[in-house]
Amino acid sequence: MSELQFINFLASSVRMATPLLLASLGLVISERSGLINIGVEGIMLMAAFAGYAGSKLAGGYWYGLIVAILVSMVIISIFAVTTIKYKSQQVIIGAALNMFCAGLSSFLYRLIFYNTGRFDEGIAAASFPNVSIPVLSKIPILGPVFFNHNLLVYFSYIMVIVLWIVINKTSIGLKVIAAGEHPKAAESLGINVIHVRYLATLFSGVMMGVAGAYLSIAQASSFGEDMTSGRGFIAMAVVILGKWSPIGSMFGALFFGAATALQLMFQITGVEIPRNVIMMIPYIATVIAVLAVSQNKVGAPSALGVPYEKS
Amino acid sequence: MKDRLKLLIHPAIAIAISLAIGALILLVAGYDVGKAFLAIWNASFRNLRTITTTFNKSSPLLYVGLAVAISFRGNVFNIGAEGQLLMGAVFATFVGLYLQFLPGFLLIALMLLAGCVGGALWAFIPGYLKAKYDVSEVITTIMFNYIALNFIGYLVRGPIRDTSQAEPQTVAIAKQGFLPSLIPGTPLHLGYLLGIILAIGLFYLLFKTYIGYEVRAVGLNKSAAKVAGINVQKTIVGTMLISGALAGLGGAIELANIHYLLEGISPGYGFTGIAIAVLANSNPIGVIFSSFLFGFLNAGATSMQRSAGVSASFVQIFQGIMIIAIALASVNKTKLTKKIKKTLSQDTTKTREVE
Repeated sequence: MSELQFINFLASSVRMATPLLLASLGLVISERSGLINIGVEGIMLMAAFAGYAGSKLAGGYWYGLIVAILVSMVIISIFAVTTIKYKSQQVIIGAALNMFCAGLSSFLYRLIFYNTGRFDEGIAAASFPNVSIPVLSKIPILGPVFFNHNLLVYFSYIMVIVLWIVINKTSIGLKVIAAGEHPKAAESLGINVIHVRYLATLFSGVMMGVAGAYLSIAQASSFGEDMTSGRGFIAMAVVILGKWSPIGSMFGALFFGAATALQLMFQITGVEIPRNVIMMIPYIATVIAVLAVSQNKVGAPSALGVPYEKS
Repeated sequence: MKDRLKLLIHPAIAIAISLAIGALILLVAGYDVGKAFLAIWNASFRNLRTITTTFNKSSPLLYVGLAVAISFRGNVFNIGAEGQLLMGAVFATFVGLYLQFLPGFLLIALMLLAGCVGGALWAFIPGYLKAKYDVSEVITTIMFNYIALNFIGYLVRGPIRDTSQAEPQTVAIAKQGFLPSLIPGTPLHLGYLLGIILAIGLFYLLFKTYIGYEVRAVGLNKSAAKVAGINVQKTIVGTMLISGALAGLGGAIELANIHYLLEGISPGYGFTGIAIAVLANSNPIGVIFSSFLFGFLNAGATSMQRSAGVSASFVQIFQGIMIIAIALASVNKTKLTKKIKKTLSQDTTKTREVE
């Protein structure tokens, strides 16, 4: 591999890591508060569609981002109400949302863009351009790898820092952790566990919305049915790998970003391995990674997945 | 009797609510709701041909529904029925392609057995990782879905591709491996009958045998089961094995029904299995009915697309709504009973105070 190829590979790893990082940061907060949401895959997909539709119909990627976030929050509200208020099984509601979103995004895509002929006006929607950060982007190797990306990539790293501070240094963070670790004790200290869980879930919805929008209007400028292809689920693995911390998630996301970039590089350079075999890499990597950290689950909230019953 | 009636009321409410929301979505989207629903109905029930087609379409769903149902009973979330079904189909394909010399009965039996093995193997790894290393089966089974899908993609584009076809697929399996029809001239095949027998057998296993008791005990409360002397790890692996074998069997039967392997052999049957199990409250007998309902919807989806222009993905939307509705319907009951109990106890205390 030449130096240029290697730099491209690293930069591509950062790009591929971004949607995983955005989604996993949202998941870190909601899981820390005690909720496990496998619906993240579908919500990201729906957000990807909403981002595309918003950008294309309103004519600008900022509109797309806002629409993606709003749609994502609406859908995650279904998860929040059914699991927090009505205490339905979180995995089952998550699975239901995945089906619902896969169906709805495809249904609406065909309805709005395919059947009406608007599809023919050119597929591309306005998407976030690359912004080279002055000075920093000129640093050899580090510049092209880290400082020549679109705004959402920078946003994801800013959020790593923000969330690290929130979790470790603020009372809001303490409340979230208390809700996920020991909801009964938290309630006795006057923390409203239900409210904390609602807010944490809604926040995770915002992050999933950005993650979905990243796929359709930053990484690409189009929408494809099932374009998330498991990234939401991999983001859940990132959280485990990152031991439920924002900084850990960053490294976890970069690991999977690299696995995906490797897979793409193999495809482009035409290595003599069949495409489908190469495409298995990120999924196999996920299983191995989750297994590797299984014995050392430091940071797993003890009330994860357990509905809170006010006594 | 009253309890049995209750079991039916919740699914019925959930279906009614989902239908109403589904109709509303179609209405807002500007479709002719009546025409769309009529298309589904016509495609499924108009005559013997369409009715048997519905049974045919619900056959793989019956198996994955049972697979997911038993996993839910054991409180393992097998989200991987899709991948297990695919691996079952792959294993059966190899038998159907390479053991062509076998007579029909033996070939079909071996294909079905291979399907069980393929599915069980694909479920064993996540089950073992969960039991031994506490690795979340939700994530591993989902990953195994993607790996299985890509594995089929690799097979039908590479080593066992039928090069005479434009679409990637394998050549047809040996003719004597095709599933015989139950009613000659209709698509209703032996696999469906086998599924019904399995459902009844599984009901018996779950509720009348010690193995079933172990599965349910672990599902209800792991630590209590441990105290009662049940080997929890073994039961988890066992539950996954049965679950995977059922899904794999469904894959083998679907393969023997459509005769060759292709990437789209399952349009997400495994995920529909989750909806089916939830709707049936993970009761194997209930799965017979709920899988038929989804087979009916799937059979109608294509015709709805043809005659009313509604995209077939509408069925997925419907499935999602239905699961949420049934989850809510069953919870509301407990909430309601609690409320009633609370008011009753309050009343009694009040009466006491008065006295």
